Amino acid sequence: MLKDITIGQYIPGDSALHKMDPRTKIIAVVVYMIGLFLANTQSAYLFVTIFTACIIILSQVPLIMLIRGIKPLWIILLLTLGLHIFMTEGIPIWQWGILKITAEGLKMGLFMVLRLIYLVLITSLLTLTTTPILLTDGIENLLKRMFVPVAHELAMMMTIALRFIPTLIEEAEKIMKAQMARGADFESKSLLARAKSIVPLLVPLFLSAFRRADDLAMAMEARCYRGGENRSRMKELKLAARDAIAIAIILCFAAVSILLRNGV
Amino acid sequence: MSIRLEDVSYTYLPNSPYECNALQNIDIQIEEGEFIGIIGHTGSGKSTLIQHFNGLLKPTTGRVTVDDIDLGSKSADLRAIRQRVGMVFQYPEHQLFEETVFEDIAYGPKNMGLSTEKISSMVQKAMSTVNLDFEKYRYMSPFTLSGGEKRRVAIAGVLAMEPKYLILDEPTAGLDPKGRNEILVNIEQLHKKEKMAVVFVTHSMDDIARLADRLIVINSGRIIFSDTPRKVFKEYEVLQKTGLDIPTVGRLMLELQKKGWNVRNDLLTIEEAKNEIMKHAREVGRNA
Repeated sequence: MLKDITIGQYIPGDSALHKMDPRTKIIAVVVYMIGLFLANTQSAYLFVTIFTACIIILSQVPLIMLIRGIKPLWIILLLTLGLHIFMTEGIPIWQWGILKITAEGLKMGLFMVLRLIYLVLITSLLTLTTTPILLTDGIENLLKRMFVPVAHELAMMMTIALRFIPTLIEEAEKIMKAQMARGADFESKSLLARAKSIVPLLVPLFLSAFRRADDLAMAMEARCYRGGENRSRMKELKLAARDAIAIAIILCFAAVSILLRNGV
Repeated sequence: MSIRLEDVSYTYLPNSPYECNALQNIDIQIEEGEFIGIIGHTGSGKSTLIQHFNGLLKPTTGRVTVDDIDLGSKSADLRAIRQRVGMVFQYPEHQLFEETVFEDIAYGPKNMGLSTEKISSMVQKAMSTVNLDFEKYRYMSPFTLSGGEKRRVAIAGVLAMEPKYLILDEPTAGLDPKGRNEILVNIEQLHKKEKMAVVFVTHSMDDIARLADRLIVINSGRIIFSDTPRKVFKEYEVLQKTGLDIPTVGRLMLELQKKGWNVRNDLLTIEEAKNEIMKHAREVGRNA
């Protein structure tokens, strides 16, 4: 059950998206979001859909991985669709008691659902095609350029957090098994029994997390880590022609999206 | 009555690129009162194997039965099985969580739904088995204890459920010699006095040579030997090829043979080695 967590998952590959500078990708995602949220006509959505599909094809990421990322959102998607369909005022196309579906509602609902799906698709593409290390390097670099004072520390925290997700999952599974061997009930249908079994899981898990944090801090200090000041890098991020092209394309995307919004 | 594995195979992440056959066609029978050692190098499937004994893992194919109860059947009460087959994981002290030693050891018996008096007597018995003074330790926090004491509290937590079979995954790893000895003596006594069946996973060939009635060697998810330690350690060439060693005593005897001494090489304990060397020395003395 814990194995379903896919945060920060990376799929190795050799596509244009994989090779792109992480900073370009982060900026592109932000611009894409602006373009996506500005779209409000059918032609605009058609354009966004085609553009998104092109990027997915370009990334060479298996579609199944992307769909897996959307799956947990189905309740939110359904709720969004439902709220918009039934709550929007307009010309009713179907009515049953107080429930009525309007053409505007249907349109708005579908738009909102598509918007959410594309949002999740593109952001998961970012993590799927960028290694966590590169991603945090990119974020650090961008934050520094925006004169955020603790850019390195923030990025280091993110790197460590991402790095330890699988470790902690493994640890949690180990402790669960050990407590199950002592008769703990993690699989019971009874909510009370399951809630009771949380303490024997959480206390050792927290302890081990603190122990690991201590060890890691010690190991980092032993290797003379002292924050970001004057720290040089083995691999400097370098922008290539590819990145300029990507930025140009994404800016065009945003421009077209704005134009379509105004009904050209 | 026994734990029986019939043609058990286990595959991690089946039908994915990360598929891994951790166990292949394993047949094992563990009788009541036996002392079995399981050896194999890291990643050979030892830990996967022992987790089948109490239903923590379900075999991909094959059948596991504990005292004729099929663990795969829907009616099998796994919690009752886990009480009967006690399992002590690697570094068991990492699973301590209660505020006092007493409460932590009582966790297992409590999950069995027993009365307070019964639980108290079971905890007391488990603590005396691992040589922890009941009055001294009962109100102490397990987190203030030393490494060896913590480990013994964790083992007591499993013993308190009074299992018929006890499975230990490297119970002495990371302990100092004193802590190791104490735990080994405890386990030996459990086997001898309480007639508990013990399955002991270890990397220490010296310990296992002395303790086990039967030794199971696994390599890449398959059993390659299942016999008495004396017979298994005779195959030192095969063992060394799979990354395993033989007891120090056996190595000493092999070295002596290389030097031209006429001694047996299938010895397991220091006592046996001493006698053999003395015998040889006497012969040499007579001939001289």
